[in-house]
Amino acid sequence: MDVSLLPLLALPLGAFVILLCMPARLSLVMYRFSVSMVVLQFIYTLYLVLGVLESSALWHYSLIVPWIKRFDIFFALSMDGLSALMCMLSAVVFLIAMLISHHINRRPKAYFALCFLLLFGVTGVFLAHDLFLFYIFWEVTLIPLYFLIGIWGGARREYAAIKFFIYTMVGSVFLLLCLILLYQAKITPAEGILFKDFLIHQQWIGSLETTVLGKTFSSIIFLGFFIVFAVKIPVFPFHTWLPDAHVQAPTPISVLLAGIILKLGVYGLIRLGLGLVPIQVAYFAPILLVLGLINLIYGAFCAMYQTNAKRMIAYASISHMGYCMIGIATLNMLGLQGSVLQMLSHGLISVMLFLVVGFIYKQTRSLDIEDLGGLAHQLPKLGFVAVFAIFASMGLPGLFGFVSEIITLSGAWVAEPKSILLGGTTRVLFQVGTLFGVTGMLITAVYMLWMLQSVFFGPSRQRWSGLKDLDQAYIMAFAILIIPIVYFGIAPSSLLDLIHQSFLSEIDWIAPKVLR
Amino acid sequence: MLTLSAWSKLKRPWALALGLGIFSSAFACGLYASSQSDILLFSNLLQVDSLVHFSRPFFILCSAIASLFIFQAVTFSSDKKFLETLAFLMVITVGFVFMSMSVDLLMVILSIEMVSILSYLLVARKPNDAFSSEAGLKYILFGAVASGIMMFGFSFIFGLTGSSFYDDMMLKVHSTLQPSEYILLFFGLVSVLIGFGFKMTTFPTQMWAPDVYQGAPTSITAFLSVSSKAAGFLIFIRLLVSFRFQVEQGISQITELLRIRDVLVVFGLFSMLIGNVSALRQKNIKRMMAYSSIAHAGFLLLGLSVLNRSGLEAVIFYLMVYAATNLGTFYIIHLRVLDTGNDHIDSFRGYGNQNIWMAVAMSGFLISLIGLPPFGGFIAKFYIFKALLMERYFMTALFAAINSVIAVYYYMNIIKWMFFKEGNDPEYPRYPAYGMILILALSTVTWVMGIYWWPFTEIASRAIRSFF
Repeated sequence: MDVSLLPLLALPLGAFVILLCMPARLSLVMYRFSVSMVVLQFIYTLYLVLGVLESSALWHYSLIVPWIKRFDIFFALSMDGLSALMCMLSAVVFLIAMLISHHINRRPKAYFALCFLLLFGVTGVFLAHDLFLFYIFWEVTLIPLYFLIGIWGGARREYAAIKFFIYTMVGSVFLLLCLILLYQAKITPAEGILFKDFLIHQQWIGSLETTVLGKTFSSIIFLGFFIVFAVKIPVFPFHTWLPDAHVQAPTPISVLLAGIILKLGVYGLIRLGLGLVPIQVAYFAPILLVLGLINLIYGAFCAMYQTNAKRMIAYASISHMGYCMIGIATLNMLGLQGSVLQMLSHGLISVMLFLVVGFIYKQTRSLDIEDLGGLAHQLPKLGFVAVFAIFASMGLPGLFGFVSEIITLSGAWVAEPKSILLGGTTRVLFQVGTLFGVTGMLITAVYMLWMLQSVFFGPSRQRWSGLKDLDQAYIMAFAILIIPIVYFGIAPSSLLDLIHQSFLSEIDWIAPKVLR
Repeated sequence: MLTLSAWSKLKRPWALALGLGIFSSAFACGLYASSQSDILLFSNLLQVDSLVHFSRPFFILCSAIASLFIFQAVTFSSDKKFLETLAFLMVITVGFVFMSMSVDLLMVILSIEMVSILSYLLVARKPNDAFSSEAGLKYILFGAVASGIMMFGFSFIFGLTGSSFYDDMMLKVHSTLQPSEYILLFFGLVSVLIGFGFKMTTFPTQMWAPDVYQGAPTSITAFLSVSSKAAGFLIFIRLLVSFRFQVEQGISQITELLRIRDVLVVFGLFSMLIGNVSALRQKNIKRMMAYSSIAHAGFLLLGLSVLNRSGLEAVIFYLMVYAATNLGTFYIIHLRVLDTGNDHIDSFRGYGNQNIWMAVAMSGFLISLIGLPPFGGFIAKFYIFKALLMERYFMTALFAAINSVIAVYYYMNIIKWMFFKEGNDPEYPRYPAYGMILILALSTVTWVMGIYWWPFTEIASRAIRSFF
């Protein structure tokens, strides 16, 4: 009974309860309290991650308690390399979001309380070790986000909030149905559907020759999983909720959305998709590749078209998540590592971009790229971080973004999943895909540099002459982001070790089945 | 109580106390009696078994809560009217329990008529209100048609089997019925389903619900939406189970009768579709809740359609969750209508600012109706999906799931009005203490049913114990 993971959940939940009891007028106290709570969460997560780095076991700090005996549901929490990294990322992103929330003056109590409920849900998704518990935490993240977007958002916030909610909910019901199907069909001696037993479960799912609607059981499960996570990632064509949600949400919530909520989808696809139905993932891998490429290139072209800076970065997010899809489709260690690294790097870099844009918006009330101009001359600090963020987003070598993109594309170049769809030409498809992926990096540079040039350089405008430069909270936030982007751009080995550890047994088992 | 209302000047609070006293003693008697074994009463008209041991406390509890609503209603502010309504409430409770106890076709008709007449009276209680009288009239007309169809179906069943007592009917059906007569039996059952569907607010007899729900006093709507629906389902469960469609047990060779399942599925899916899609466009909150109750009835019908133990358990658990949630929702609607005087959805504008805890409670109820964790509505839908998937009704389950998502929009719409819009009146409405306690109790129950639901599913499975 290792209870080391419980504080990670208890802390946000406790903060939620405490915030509800605070009187409403102490907004500064709430702000400081929230920041300190997230700092505590961050420190504790760091401590746990160091523990994971030390030993080479697959699952750490496992807590598995029988919960609902009748349905074989356990209350199970556990951490492996992947979850550790995601928890770390969520702590960092939440810290950033809390740091810059000092300007929220409408109902701060509800705002901070909902943020902690969201942190509770997100941490739970990453720590959940039982399928039902995963679903419960997945649903817990919906409601706070609906309120956070809908109350503190921009002009069309209600539309964006309900659009986000309905899209995600459609995905969730598919997850619910797949979950119930899996629990019904279970015939293995392993108890519950725990992630640690996934290798056992893979075998019986594959062997279930139940013919449903003419397809096999595992394909249905894969499709269900794919839909729910495709909405979150977001994969074309389920991506249309993202521009609205990101643009209408206030800056801290955009940070949360881009930084961590999108990663829930990728994490789910890796955990559940690769964990339970890897053979189906291999079967559909070319389709995943193509969808990832569409994300990348179509997203980039959409971003090029935008004149609203925040919308452009939203489409840039869609574009960058395409790398994650490509990485998953490769089904080899390089590609999967690249996918996880891309999650982390995008989590940091897009947060930086949203922070820059959010800071500008706060002062100028304008997001129009053509309208803004010459900001770097007046606001040198902002100019510096903006240049840094945009070059990081483009994948400048030496920074984190380059590392993740190049590893993903290397994995795609050598990928050869056993897909019956295309037979022997899969290798060629992946190689062509890699070439397209590289052009994606090129197109990213186009719109990013255009935005940089148009907003920050060029002649200064009279309108923007009286703006203030970065304040202390923002400087702290940017510092927290810049350090890992630089460090992991040069020395990502610790991350690679963690990820390698969590995928090794998986790849060993599925490699003969899914790769040629 | 009627005599009291006619001849005494009993004040409302005392009347309420008297009413609650009677309810609690009846509740206690009911609980005591549930320790005894099943018996048949009144020369085989009524049966007291585990289902009744569930339904008796259930209906008494609903009526007790409804009496608290009615106490607060403006419509019943005169003492005499309140006493009368309370008396009606008591008799209708007896009627509901009779409905769940009926094991003879004649008793079914009798108890349904008893309940119907009283509901017509309760619905039309608002004086000089066009909506209310219209609601009552529509209720009577539709009810009469539905009863007619139901009795038409009964005549078929009676004609084929020669007996109106369920057990005898079952024996005759399984032994002496000719194969050529199966279709007639099926037709009779479908007619009965349509007739019962009136009470259950399912397709194809669901069209009365929006008008009646809107026109009736909100407290009565709350009560009827829960109790009438539950009674309709319980009486239908009894009929279905008595026919024992358990072919695999070798009791019946009449596999054609299993087609009733398909009818149930189709009716359920249509109810859900009609309910959810129509609710999207509603501007009146009571009408919207009426369509939502049609959608939920569709869900319940799907749970019934699997015709096995897990399905029935799911249905009874869902009825319990629905009772708690719906009573809470309607009570808050009732309070809001009292505050603002109109029952449009935008009367909820800015409720989050005025009274955050009531708004939170309302959000809890609405999220439970959508079917999201950690509320009871999620567990209820989970059980229904489980029952459906176990019987391999895959497309049905998928369609039901999509319908749940359609429902999200109109429930969240209310939440949107409460929290996202600023209200005009920043005053904190004062609600009576028992009202707040009631809301607290109902919302706690709804939430508990979502995280610690074992005792309730235990009650549900014990309720159907005597069928298997």
